[in-house]
Amino acid sequence: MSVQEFFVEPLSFEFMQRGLLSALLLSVSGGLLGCVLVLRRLALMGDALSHSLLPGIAVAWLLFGMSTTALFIGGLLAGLLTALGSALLSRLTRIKEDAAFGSLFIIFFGAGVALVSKLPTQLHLTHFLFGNVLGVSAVDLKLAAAVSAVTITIFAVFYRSIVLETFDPVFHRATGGWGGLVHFGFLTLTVLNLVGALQTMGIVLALGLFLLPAVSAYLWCDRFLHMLLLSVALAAIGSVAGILLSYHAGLSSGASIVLCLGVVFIGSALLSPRYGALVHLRSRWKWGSAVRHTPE
Amino acid sequence: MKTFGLRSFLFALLCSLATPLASIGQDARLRVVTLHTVLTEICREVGGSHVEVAGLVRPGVDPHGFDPSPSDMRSVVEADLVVAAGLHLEPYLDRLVRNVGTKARVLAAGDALPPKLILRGDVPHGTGEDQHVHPNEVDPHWWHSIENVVFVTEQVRLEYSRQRPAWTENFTRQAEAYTQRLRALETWARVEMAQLPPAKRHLVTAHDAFGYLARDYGFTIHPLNGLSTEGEPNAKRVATLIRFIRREKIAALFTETTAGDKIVRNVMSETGARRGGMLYADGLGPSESDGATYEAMYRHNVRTIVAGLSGR
Repeated sequence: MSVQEFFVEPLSFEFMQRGLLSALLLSVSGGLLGCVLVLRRLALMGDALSHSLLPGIAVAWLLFGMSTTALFIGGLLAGLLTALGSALLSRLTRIKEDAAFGSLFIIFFGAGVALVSKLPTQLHLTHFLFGNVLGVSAVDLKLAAAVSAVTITIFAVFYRSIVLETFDPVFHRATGGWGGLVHFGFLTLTVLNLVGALQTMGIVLALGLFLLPAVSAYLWCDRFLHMLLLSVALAAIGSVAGILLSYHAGLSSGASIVLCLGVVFIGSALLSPRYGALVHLRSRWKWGSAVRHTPE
Repeated sequence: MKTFGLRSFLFALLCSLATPLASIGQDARLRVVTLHTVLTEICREVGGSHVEVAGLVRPGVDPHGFDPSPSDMRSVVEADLVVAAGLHLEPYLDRLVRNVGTKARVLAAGDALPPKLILRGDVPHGTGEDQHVHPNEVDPHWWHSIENVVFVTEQVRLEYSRQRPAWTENFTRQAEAYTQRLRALETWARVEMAQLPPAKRHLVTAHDAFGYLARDYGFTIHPLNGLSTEGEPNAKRVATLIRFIRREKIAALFTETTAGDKIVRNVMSETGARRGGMLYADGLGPSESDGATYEAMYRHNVRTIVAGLSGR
């Protein structure tokens, strides 16, 4: 197989160009947001959020019928309610944010399932909102570009606040930072990104892009900026590799990208020179599990 | 007069218990539950006023992902006969029937079809160099062949007559009338389809639901997805399909009522093929639509395909 056949031929199709481009755009915002999510222990937020959209989608369908814009806005509102609601709960009660998130999303999901069972249609509404990387339309591409641009701008402008809020929210508040506001703004941005990614790329790829590059980068980097950059780079490389794999091997495209990112993650988890499993095991073997005492 | 009150209460209770008991038997209306919209129609047509048919999967619903409610389960428990589409379209069927503990007889219509009517991937799939058949892969969308619907009508008639022999004549008359309408529909469809030259008989759809139609009228099918609406397409398949559509100058692609169409739209914009229209893939449409009855649905599909592909 020549270089021409391997790289150029797949991209001679518009649907491949649009799919890859939107995957790259969302790689940037997903790579950035994912880092904060991983460090704030909100890594499962994407999964939770994708379930909590259901009631919003169902209500939108009831009010406006099968309009993708309405479904998108409905999903977005439900996602925002879940995210901001759980942030609020974690501040006003003793519940931690992950537990608040878990509780709210399952309530929303339950409400969604109940609503859908009452709808005069039992179409898989989420099939209509959730896209596929091969089905990216010109409008979807614009949405991805807008979402990504907003995310990059916000990261650039509020970088200092985001770093402080991520690593030491207490200190951030003590030094007069608008900790709450930054966090709520961050959550809003994440919801916007995730719903946008779900609509353009489908559930598997959206969740993959917002998590796998960031956790992989976390295994290699000690500095936040390095982690951000590596995460974005890994997401982009995974997207290109995955979409080519999907084209040549005939695999589902979203899943192929996620699998490529998954190989990077597992590789990092095993081989990372400082935080990998092998290094850890070797030092355990070398020193034993005994507690070392001062020599007598 | 306390005792009298109690006694009359017990009497009333006994009476109320006895009434339904008395009505169970040979002359009670047959209670039928169906799990597919086309079956609901067949069961109503054959049964007429002697049969009460409840269709659990409502029109416009994707039967691949049906989720029964408690009232659905209750009607299964109380039914005399449960009719399913079979051929693994309802993977939940066995569990549903076993777990609700119904005494109803279960007729899986598709499974009862003679082997020569069941499609085991012998229809050509795919495009050009990628053309292939899927041996042993059973296509559950049997109702797209009128021959099969006629056969199932006969199955339903036999089952009705077995359970309510007194009304055999009615069932036979009604089944014959319905079969005649189906035969007329078949004749009409043959004439319509004859307008399409064989070279134009390529059906590009969102999921693989029209194998039986393809078999009956000599089409090659090019689904973006597999037999279920759950699968996800891959880039290779879409690319091969785009090349094929360009080469063969296929005039139109078709979308479906129960599946998303974003990828179909992308293929259209890339090949210049038109949207041939929407086909009823997984069953009948809602009552106000032009796919509300089997005949209407079939006519709609045939007309849409012929109009789309002949480029009128």
